[in-house]
Amino acid sequence: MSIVVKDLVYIYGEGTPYETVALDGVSFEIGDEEFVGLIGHTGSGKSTLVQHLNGLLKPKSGQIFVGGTEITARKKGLTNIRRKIGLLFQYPEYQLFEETVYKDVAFGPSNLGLSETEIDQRVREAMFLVGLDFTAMAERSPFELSGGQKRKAAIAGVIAMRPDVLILDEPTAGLDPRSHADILDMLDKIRKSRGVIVILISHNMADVARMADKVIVMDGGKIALAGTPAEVFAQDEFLSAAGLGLPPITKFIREMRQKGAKIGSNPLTLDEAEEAIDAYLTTKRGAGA
Amino acid sequence: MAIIKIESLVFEYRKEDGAETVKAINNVSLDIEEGSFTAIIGRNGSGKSTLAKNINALLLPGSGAVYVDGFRTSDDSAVWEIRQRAGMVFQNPDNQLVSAIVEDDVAFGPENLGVAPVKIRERVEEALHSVDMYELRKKSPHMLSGGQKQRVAIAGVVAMRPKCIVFDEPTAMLDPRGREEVMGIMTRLHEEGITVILITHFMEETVRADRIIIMDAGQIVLDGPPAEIFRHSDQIRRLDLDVPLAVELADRLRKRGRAIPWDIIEDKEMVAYLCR
Amino acid sequence: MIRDITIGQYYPGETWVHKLDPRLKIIITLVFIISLFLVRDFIGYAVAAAALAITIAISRVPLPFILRGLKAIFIIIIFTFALNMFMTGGTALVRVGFLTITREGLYNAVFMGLRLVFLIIGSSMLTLTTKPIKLTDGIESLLNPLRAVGVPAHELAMMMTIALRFIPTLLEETDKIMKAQVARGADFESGNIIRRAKNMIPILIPLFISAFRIAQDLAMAMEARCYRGGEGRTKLHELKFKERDVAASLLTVLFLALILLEREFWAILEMLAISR
Repeated sequence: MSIVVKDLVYIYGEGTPYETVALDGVSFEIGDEEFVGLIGHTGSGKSTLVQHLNGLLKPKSGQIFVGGTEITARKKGLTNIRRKIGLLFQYPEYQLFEETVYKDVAFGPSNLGLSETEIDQRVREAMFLVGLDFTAMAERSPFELSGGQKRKAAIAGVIAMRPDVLILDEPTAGLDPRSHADILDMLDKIRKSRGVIVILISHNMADVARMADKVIVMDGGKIALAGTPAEVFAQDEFLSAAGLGLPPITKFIREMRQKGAKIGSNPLTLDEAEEAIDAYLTTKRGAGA
Repeated sequence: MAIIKIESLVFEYRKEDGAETVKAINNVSLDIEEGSFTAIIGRNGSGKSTLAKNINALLLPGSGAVYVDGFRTSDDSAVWEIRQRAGMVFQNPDNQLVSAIVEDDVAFGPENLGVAPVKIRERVEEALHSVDMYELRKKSPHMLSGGQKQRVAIAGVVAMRPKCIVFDEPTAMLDPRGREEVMGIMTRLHEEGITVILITHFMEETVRADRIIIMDAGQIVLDGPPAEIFRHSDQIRRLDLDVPLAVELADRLRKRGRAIPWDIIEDKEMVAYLCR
Repeated sequence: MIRDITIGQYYPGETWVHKLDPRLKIIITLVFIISLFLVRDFIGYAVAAAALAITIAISRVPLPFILRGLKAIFIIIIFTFALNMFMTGGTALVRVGFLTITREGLYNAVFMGLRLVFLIIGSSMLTLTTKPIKLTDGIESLLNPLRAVGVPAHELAMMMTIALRFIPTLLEETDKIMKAQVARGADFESGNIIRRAKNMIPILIPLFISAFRIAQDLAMAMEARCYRGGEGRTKLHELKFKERDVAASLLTVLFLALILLEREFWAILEMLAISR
């Protein structure tokens, strides 16, 4: 499975005084099983872009190919695309509506017209993957759950469609550190067990640096930068001009360098940073002695 | 002088499914000094938000007492005095603005207090300037970013001329830019002499406070100045909370046998120490 | 479709008409509507049309913008027109099958049709030149004297204010929920009416829950800002009767006098003849 996007253009409110170009010639490719971090400040076009990927918005021009099939050309048959591409909006718990968690998670699969046994199997699988205990939770009302559990139930509703591509718009927004960590672990687990493409929209640079294989930076409706986390987060001046920060670790190491510390590597995680700083302190002591 | 005194506060609520009651706050005693900046942190369900709403008389003690500037919250006749003195900013920037025009919304509090119209105008302009939103005073909230909306909400509280503002997770729903804006305003208000109480689950925001209170299961677990609190980083992690980056790095380096001073809690200090 | 309805849409401007006291504008609009029902012949309409034309000219609201409002109720106008044309007895002009158009019918049709058109244009002039929030203030102020007989003037105005504030929020919310359910394979476009209605449940329930959450949050935020009903409340924007309002009032009186004079023209003429 791969995603190819070519010259995508989208204009909001065309012909009104509020007309804005939301996507301005966006092109990129995502390969099999890649984990992509999509970053950009609010209003840079990230959400508009991902809504195109499963056909919720129609581009003014440009093409999108999902697994070799062009999804921008035809009007019908979008259900087939939507089953392949799971899209999770911000604060997805606000879309829960069924009497029980089970029924809510089953909503997607039953829209696909699957058999009862197939649906049941998928609901169990999805609840397991997001870490909701089936026996304890399945028959409870989704509205009785805690904030973190609601979020997980909503994610399960998308996972139960067994998408090949999973797009998540700020899945950890507003959660406490524990639920935040749970959601990230869950993403790892889903990716390993199902081999899906993951596109993570996030403002949390530390998460992106740690999880992503590739980072796409959007600014003013265009792709401003793309590459591995190490490549992208090396462009600190560019990122701050686009209203984005660096992962705290990267920023910390950068500040050390500015103070004259000689650190060769570019750590993106705490473990790497610990190693690099320790090595630096050792050489410094050596040099001082 | 303590502007807020909390004495053996207990707050219970009934679970939705039956007669079972939960102690959201279980015997908390606490004094908050006038002009201080206190951060209250804890995971979801630790009782921190319930505590905040008790300060503003939005919730009343089951037992024990809460005093704001000498007024007891359980005294019916004091409610408006208390709410005027201890303002509150909530989490969701959308759901706390009343009017479709920014300046009208900021006027809402003073209007409720019965301030004379000319004086309301003065207060509104002053409050909007203090959050840097004067230019956008004629806009409609739904045209603003999350951070801007939250600043309008803060202006609405500032216009009531409170002595103390309780911020209940004001940045939880904001992007990094909005978060920075709100934290900046908060620091500024504190410098201008307003007592700030910040409820949050972002540990890096607490570094700016002069006192950190960590709550869990309705009780105070740790209470002290930041440098003191972060000596207990293992305990903090066990409570499902993060520690600031500098503290995390210092801990890791200490485990490798490097003696990092305990009073280092901010990135800047840590960088300076490592590169000295 | 919704965009076509001009009623309730504001056209920004700084003209004399825009700046009039909203209370006066509401009264003028009522006077205008009543005058339309007083008019007996086309000369009367000419007076009304002239008054309307002058108002529109001063307000600088573009004519196409005003006429867009008529498009939405075009069907009603046609229906009124047809009903009057075919259903009035009298001298036959044309026969089409079983339908007969009479001279009186045609007269009535044009007469009623014009009344409707003037009515719509007249009332949309009110909303086109008055900000909704000002209109709310005006309504509250006008209803205030009726509080004695139990009309909840302040509460109504507060409800309107909140509705104005949250309509955009709820529209956005609806759009978001709809997209989220479509992404889960929901289908809102096919099937018969019953099926479609059933398919709306995944949108309606989250939307209701959202609305309740907003209501709950907002109520708490309002209380925290000392809201306690209309009693003892002051207002940022005081409505003040200015010179231009006096002038407009005089013009309105003149207009009403003209309409009445014209209506009773022949009667007055007769009276004069008799007295002579």
